[in-house]
Amino acid sequence: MLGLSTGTSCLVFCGPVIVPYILGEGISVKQSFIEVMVFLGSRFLVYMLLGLLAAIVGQAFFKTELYGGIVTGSAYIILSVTLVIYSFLRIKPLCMLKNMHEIPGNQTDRRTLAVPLVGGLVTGLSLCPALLLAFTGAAAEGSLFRSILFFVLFFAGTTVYFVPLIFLGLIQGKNAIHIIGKAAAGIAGIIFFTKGLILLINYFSI
Amino acid sequence: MKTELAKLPPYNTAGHLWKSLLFCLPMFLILFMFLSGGRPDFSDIKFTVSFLIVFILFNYLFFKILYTGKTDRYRSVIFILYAVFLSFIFILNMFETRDAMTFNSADMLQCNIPFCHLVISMILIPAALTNSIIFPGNIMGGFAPITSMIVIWGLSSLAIGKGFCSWGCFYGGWEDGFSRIRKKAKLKNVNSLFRWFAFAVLLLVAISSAVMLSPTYCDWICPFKAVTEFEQVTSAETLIKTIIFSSLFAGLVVILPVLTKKRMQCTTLCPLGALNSFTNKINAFDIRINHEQCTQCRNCINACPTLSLDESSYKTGRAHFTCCKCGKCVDVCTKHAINYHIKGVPVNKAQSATRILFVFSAFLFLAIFASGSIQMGVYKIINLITTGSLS
Repeated sequence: MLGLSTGTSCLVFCGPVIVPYILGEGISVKQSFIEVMVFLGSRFLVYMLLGLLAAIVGQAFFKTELYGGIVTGSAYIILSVTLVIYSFLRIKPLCMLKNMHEIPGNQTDRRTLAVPLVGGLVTGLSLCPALLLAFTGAAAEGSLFRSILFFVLFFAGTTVYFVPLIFLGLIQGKNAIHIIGKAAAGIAGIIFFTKGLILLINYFSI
Repeated sequence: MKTELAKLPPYNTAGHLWKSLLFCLPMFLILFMFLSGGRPDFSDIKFTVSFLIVFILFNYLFFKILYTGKTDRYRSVIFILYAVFLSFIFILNMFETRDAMTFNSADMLQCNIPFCHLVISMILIPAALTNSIIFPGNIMGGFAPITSMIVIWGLSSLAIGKGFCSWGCFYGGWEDGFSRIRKKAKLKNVNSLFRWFAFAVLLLVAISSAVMLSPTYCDWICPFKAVTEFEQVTSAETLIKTIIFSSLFAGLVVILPVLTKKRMQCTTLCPLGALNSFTNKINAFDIRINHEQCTQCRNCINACPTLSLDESSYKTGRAHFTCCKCGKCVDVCTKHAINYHIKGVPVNKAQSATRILFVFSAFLFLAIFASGSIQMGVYKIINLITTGSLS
């Protein structure tokens, strides 16, 4: 229930990461399915680790304060840099990708999957209010199994909002949509960078 | 069809004094009614003077549009004046009601924030999903209510499409003004693909506003807070917001338009501009190039302030759907190869009639929308000169 009720706010944190990426890549439904799955998979992995951490925290250090500001702020800044680099790499393929194609093994293919992978990991680590709530709830469960199950259900609830993203591949083929996707990635990066900066400033000014 | 078009009277008013004056008559009467409120009261000398200044100015400029055949040159005068006077009146109003250009959380809780048309791009999805308006303003009544702005935008979209951005937007005049400061562009050949950036902004602000139920563009990005109102700086967050909108205003509204002679904020950042592009699809007017007369001299491409014309326009024979119908390309074309056009009519037919139909609709909208603010601004200036006080 927590996942379903707060899933929309999760989409605001994770949607800007994956939507511009899918729009910007010019890929098919099958490929976008793989991209979204990688993104969700890495996010799931983080949630499982958080479930494990929540269990430990719940059993031993439940009352310890979490430094949410610095963790979230750093996550935002890392994410924004990822997005901006992605955006500018693709906007100027002649200068950047040309060199990358010269590297044996065609590293551009590997990088394509690395972006949703890193995006999923970092957004999973972003301590948005919903995730903090989930963490608190999971920690309060008191056992490893129940804490991890709590995060599995939380993941399932929030994932509902990501399913339509797979079909964004259907509207590929137009140059304008690619440019809009890339530009959106760059702008989202700047927004996340700003948010991260504010969180860090607030953290260090306390 | 050909026979019917051939029977149309000669609508070409350029260089024809009496014909131009005759076509000015409806504008003269409508403007008189709107400016005087239908029941003119000339007992206040300051009101009378401000009325006369604005009335004569508007009618003179409309006459010049008809008589010279130039559209953008005279449109821009009112458009720029409108932006400057509206900001002047707005800021004055803020100081009279709040003693500052800033607003605080109490003003937001009391829904005292004036509504501007840029917010429309953010409120549509939340309004459809939740039946609520995600903006702390007045639905009806008060200063700049939400309903009236939406109705005005809707009607103008039907009448002139994205022409709203060049004939109605009270921010566009700032960039338009700055883009005319230099005679020649310092930065030439701006990539026309930049016009898609505004769609990326629209995509992001529409999603984020719908989910966060807050107008994120106004909150974080809008550069025109520099000439209207902005949030009081009380924290690191509000300080960064202030830095962001001030930088965007300086960069996209002042510096880049001066250097490129393009309306860079409208082209790359404005979410309503992107949304308005779609209204061009339902509007009857567009800009078309006549292949028979066009010499591909690039004058129109270089002149277009919104990057809506490029090499591909020569092939398709039309401006991109981001065109805001300012008329600059029509003015600079020495071969009269590019013109206003009504969809469905052959490109080389009824060009003068089409121009007059569009210009009359657009100018009337601009005059009705802008005249009140300009008149009030003139009134305040007269007050300042005669009494030493603006209020």
